[in-house]
Parts: sequence; structure tokens; C-alpha cells
Amino acid sequence: MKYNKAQAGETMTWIVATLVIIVLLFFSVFATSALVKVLKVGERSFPLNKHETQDLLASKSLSAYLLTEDDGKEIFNQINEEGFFNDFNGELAEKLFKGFYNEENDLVVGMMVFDPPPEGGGAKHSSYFTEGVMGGLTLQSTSRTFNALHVQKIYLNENNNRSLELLVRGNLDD
Amino acid sequence: MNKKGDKLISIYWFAILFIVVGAVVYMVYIFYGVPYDIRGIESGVLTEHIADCLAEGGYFRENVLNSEDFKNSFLTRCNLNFEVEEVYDWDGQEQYYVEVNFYEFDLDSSEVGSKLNFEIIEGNINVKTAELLENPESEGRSFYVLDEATNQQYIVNIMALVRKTEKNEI
Repeated sequence: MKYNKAQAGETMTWIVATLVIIVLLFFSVFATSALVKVLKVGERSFPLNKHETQDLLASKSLSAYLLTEDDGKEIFNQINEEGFFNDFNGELAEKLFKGFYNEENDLVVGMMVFDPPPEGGGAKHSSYFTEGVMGGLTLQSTSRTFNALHVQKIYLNENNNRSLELLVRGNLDD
Repeated sequence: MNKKGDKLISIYWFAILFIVVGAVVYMVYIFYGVPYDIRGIESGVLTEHIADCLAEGGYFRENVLNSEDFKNSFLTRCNLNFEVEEVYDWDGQEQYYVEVNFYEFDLDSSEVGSKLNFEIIEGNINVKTAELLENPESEGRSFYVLDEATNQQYIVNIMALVRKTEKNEI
């Protein structure tokens, strides 16, 4: 009699365990189906764009921008000699790159100045965008105050401690 | 007696194992079985390919701007092939549309610039019509480029569209 009771108890345990497993599985399948329905087709687009750090069209535009002549002098040489953007090339940069993608994501041309590389070490940022107006935006911060994605870097001198950078600024995490 | 019980337990475990595996496979299938929409990437690649065909190093390539010869042999010159797989009755219906417009850049103007009487159009115009119905603000992508001979500044707008709806939507 005692033996039969033990057997019945053990069987009950297995039945309950089976039911728990099946309920959990049904819940998982249901949750997955619901998730698939919530994710619309557009949101299942291949998630590559926001990790992209190269943009051929932006790079081409930057090359053409630096080759553009003002009073017989290319902007590349202008910036190198004057040390920063002037009215002409600043305004041109603004018109070309502000709103390059859409209202939320801008392209910003900025200048990066590096400290002289320490012995045996690489270059170090001394400031991210020196003070001034670039692309119509006054960026005075010495650190990244916005979410940015590096697109293109062009060194302005042979020491590689001064560069012109093209950055995407905007809601990259969306 | 015990041997018989062990056998039953083994069968039970196998049954549970198959049920769990089946459920996991089903969940993976319903989640990842939905096709990815890669039309945006495809049109992006097409746009970059065309941009590369038109300009290099900040300048237009030779015999591109205002060249009727380039316009007429655009697909060949840019190594483009608009043929598609023989599925979904795509044989008689092109799946691509490309439109390239050129504008003279004017820094003082609030507009992009004045449009040149030179444009390149290839592919199925219905793809553009359908795209504009879905996204009325769709306007392609633009880049800035110079004409080396005259140093004139231009904006080139490329609209590259891919249909292939059947392969990219549920």
C-alpha cells in the first residue's frame, strides 16, 4: 500500500513537471509570435547603416570642397595658411554639409588639432573642434558634446597633427 | 519492475526533448523567417557605384558632363546590368530605376542651383512612380563636384531605386 502511494506521488511530480514545461514552451512561442507581429517590415531592414563609417558621396563632396578655388586659391591651402575657416569656406561648408542627410542627421566639417605625439606614442587629441564657426554651428566644446560618427579625415600638414574631419552629427542611435 | 520503469522514464525524457527542440526550432523559424528588406542597401550601393562612375577625386571624369555619348551608353560606361533573376514574372518588368540630375551650384542662392538641361534616366519609370506614391519626399542623394576644365561647381543628384518587392516584403 505504502509502495503504491509513493508511486502515485512520483507520477504526480512528473505530470506537474511536464505541464510546467509545456506551459513555458507555449508562452515562449506566443511571445515570439507577438514580437514578430510588433516588428514591422520597415523596422526589419538590414541594420548596417548606423554602423557605417564610410560614405562615398560625403567623401567625394569633401574632396571637391577642398579643391574649390576662392581668389585663385584652393580651400585646402586657404585653411592651411589661415589656420581656420574663413567666411567663404565656412559658408560653403555650411551650405554643402548641413542637412546633408536629413534634418536629424547633419554632416559637420570640423578641424581637429592634435598634441605633438609623445615619444614612442601616438597622437593625442588636444581638442575636438577648436573654437569657431563651422558649418554654421558654434562648437566651443573641447570634448564630444554630441553623438558623432566619423566619416572622413584629411590631414592638413605633413606632421599629421592637424586634420579636417567630416562627422555625422545626429540621432545615430535611433 | 525497476527496469520497466526506467524504460518509461527514458521514453518520457526523449518525448520532452523532442517537444522542446521542436518549439525552439519553430520560434527561430517564425522570428528569423521574415525576410530582411535590403532594398535600401542595394539602392545605396547602386548610388555609390554611379557616383564613382561620374566623378573621381572631386572632379567629373572625362566626357561625362553634357556628353550625349555618355548619356546614351550610360549602363555600359558604368558597368551596370539591370537584368534580374527569372522569378516572380520579373522578365518583362525591370526592377531598377536610375535618374541622375545635374545642377550648377550657386553659393548665394537658397536653392540647390539651376538644373542643367542634361539628365540621365534608365530603367523602369513605374518603380519611381511607386516609390513617390509611398515616399513623396524621396529625392535621392546628392554630392558636390567640380568641373576641372572650368572650375565650375556642380551638385549631382542620384536617385537609384530598386523594386524587388516580392523578395523583400512579407
